[in-house]
Amino acid sequence: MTASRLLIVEDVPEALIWLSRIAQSAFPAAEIGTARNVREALAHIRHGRWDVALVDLGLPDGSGLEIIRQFAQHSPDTMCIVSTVFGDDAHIVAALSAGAQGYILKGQAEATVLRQLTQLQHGLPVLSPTIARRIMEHFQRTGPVGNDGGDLTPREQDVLTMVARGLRNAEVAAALSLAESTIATHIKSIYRKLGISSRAEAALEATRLGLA
Amino acid sequence: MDVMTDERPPRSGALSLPPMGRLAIVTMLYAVIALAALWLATSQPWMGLVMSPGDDGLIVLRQVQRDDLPSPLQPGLRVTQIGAVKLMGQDFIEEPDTLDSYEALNAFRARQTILHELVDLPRLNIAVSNPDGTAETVQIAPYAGRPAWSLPFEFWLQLLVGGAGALLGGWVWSLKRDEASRYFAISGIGLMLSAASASVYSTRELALDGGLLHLLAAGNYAGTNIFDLALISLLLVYPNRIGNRAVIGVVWAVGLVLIVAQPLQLMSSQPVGTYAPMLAQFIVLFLLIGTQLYLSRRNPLGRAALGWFGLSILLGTAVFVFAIALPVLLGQEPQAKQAHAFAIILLIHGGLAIGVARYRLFDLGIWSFRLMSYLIGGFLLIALDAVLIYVVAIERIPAFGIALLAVGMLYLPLRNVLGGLMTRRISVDPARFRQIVDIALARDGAQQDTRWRSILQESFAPLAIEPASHAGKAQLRDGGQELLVPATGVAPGLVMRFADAGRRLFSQADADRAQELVDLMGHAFESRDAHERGARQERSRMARDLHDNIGAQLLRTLHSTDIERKDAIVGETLTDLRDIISHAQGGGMKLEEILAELRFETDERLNAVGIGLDWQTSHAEDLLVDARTAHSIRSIVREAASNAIRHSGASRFGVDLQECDGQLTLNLADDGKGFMQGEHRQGGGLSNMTARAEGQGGTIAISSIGGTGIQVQLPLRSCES
Repeated sequence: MTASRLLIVEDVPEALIWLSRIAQSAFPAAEIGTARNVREALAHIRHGRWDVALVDLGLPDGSGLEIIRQFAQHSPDTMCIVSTVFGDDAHIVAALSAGAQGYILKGQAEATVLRQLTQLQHGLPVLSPTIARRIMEHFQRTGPVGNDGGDLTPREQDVLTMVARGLRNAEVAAALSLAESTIATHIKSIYRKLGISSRAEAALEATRLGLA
Repeated sequence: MDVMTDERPPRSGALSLPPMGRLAIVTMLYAVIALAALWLATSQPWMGLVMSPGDDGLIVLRQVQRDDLPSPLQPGLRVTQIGAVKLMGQDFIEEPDTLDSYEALNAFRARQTILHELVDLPRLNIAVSNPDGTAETVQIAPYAGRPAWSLPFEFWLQLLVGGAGALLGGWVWSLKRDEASRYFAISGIGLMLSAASASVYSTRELALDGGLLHLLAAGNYAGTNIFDLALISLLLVYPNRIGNRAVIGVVWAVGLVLIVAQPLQLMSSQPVGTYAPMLAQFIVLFLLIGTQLYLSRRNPLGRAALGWFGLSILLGTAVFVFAIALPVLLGQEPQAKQAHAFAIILLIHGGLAIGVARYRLFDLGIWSFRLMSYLIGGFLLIALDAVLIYVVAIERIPAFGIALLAVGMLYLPLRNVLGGLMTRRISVDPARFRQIVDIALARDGAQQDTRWRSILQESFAPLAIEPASHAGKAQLRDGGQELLVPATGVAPGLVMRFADAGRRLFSQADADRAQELVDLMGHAFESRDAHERGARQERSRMARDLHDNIGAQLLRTLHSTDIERKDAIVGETLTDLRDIISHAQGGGMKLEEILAELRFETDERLNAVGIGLDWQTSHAEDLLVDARTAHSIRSIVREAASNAIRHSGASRFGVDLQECDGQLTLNLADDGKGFMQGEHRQGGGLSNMTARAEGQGGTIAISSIGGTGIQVQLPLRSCES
């Protein structure tokens, strides 16, 4: 995948500069747009087509989740990536289920972030042990959701369990005798199902509240 | 407005007796009257025959009370003649007042005199006819007196009613020394006079002397009128004073004229003379109750008392008016036995007495509803029974059974449903619960107070809510005019005055409900406190963690000259900060999770420079460690990995962590070149590890033979909260 237009949503100016620099290295041909808050980001969504968006969650006028939802609704082809300082687990899982396809931790070394962005560009999603744990908890809480494909296959569960124990994709691949790219596919599938299961969860919630 | 609530001291000059004294006087009066009635009833000549008119118009012998009578006298015979007098059904009439003219009344009395004289003779011929039509004459010897045991149930019932009326009146009068209770006592005396007189003549065997009859009828008439006049007087002064003494005087003057005029047969006719005043009095009572209700619309106590006894009076007098007076005035037979009507009056008189004496009439609605419902049930039963017998023509016994069944299966459930609606206990509304929790959580004291008051206002709609010092339970005061609400965590004690904007009194149910609200508030307040305590503990834990970890690391960063190290420390600091935030709830972090992240991160770093990772851990599942221990483990592993990456030239890096007996043993090893003594000292890597381990009360051993080997032992602190 080659990104020709990339949007960075970030309220801290230094971080914005830092991220822009890294993004330019990861996507040398890309045109980079910036937004400092939800309002500006939504204006960008309305007035342009974006291939990749790096979205900070804690913005001065709201949550980055809203931006991710808008992208998912109006521009589903855009790859949304959450960028966050603390890697607040609950928020990342929420963002993934809202349609984000990956996340980067801004606190990491520049080289690490650059590598993660490059990997994302090649379709290799990032999944840290803690996030894997949260995802497992999420699926345990929502339970099977019928024929929606919302529940994980046994293989996906294996991958998730191993990642949660701290194994890298390559190690998981070795342990399961699979190609690393297959592991990446599984992880992407898990992300996707996260969104589906959260919809099922929403429907369940709506029924419980007597709305549906 | 003169409300009968104030306890006035006995007026000087008035008869000043202790309560028991007054009650004793009334009791003695009753004893005298009752004994007089009993003496009058038992001093009559007695045949020992119980007779009543049968369906065929003849007089049926129902029961023979003596066993020394000639054998032909058996129950079921028709008695045709006493001496030379042919018996008529009218001779057995219970209440001569129901006769339709003074002439008829006088004729009745004349016959009674003759019959009485006949029975008073030593020998008496009685002509009877057998069921087969044969007639015969039997001679009997009447006794000079009638034994008390032979008196019918109705005699005792009426004496009981009269006595209860008098004693209830006396009871109230002895406890409450005011005008209203005096009238109430007088009405009781009137009831006693009326019932005692009637008890003698309505249960005579056959006849009384005409003069005695006249006297007893006058007593009955006077008693009934006194009863009504006293109730009218009572309603003229209680709960609000409507008429002054002059008005009451006029009432009594008119009444006394009647009491004299009717026995002297000065009225237009017998039924009018007897029952028109009764009807008029009933209407006056009805109007007075209406007026009192109107005047009491702002006085809850008055309303409560009125609801109580206004209803009693109306029901009691209505029984007489509709069962006896009105039918007679319309020229029909009375619809109830007088004795039974008296019994209903007694029931109501009792309720009235309680109302006047105690006026703690909190559950008034329930009380009056219950009484009313039983009356209605009784009326329904009788009405249905009558319909079945006279309209559907069913035998008496099955008819009664069917009526009872119908009332039991249809009316009683309905009554219970209605009763349930009326006596519904409104417990605390779930919406209130939320309001209360909101109040408990609010910060502003004045606002809490205001909102608490508004909850009370919405729940009870009192006319006023004022501060009052009150501890303990919610409690009624002044007979339900006020409800004391104890202090809660957010508001001082309060007193509510006049429930439902003055339309009713506070009841015990209200007090219970108020207490429930208070308890709920207390509970919510305590929960808030507990929550705040928890939050404080959590805050201090976070402050400690921030100080120990973040503060120390930032200081290190500040004083470090190596840019690369600065970046590394800042990165670690962010991870620590993440721990502190993510684990803000709960007593510690899962060692398993920390190690998983650490393994992932270390592997990423080592992998980037082509170093393989050997990772071994063994520890109790779900082991929790505090932030400081987590930080130490992470720092040491990162430091060792950094050494391996930067300086060792190693191809493998091994991490082995064992937990055993509250001790963590961490072995870190690489297969690189090791290090020379004195090397890296300034870099601080090893010294940092040493400081970390020793700061935790642990030990560290470093070797440089065949690569770098570091063994760290850390004590595990229990972190239960």
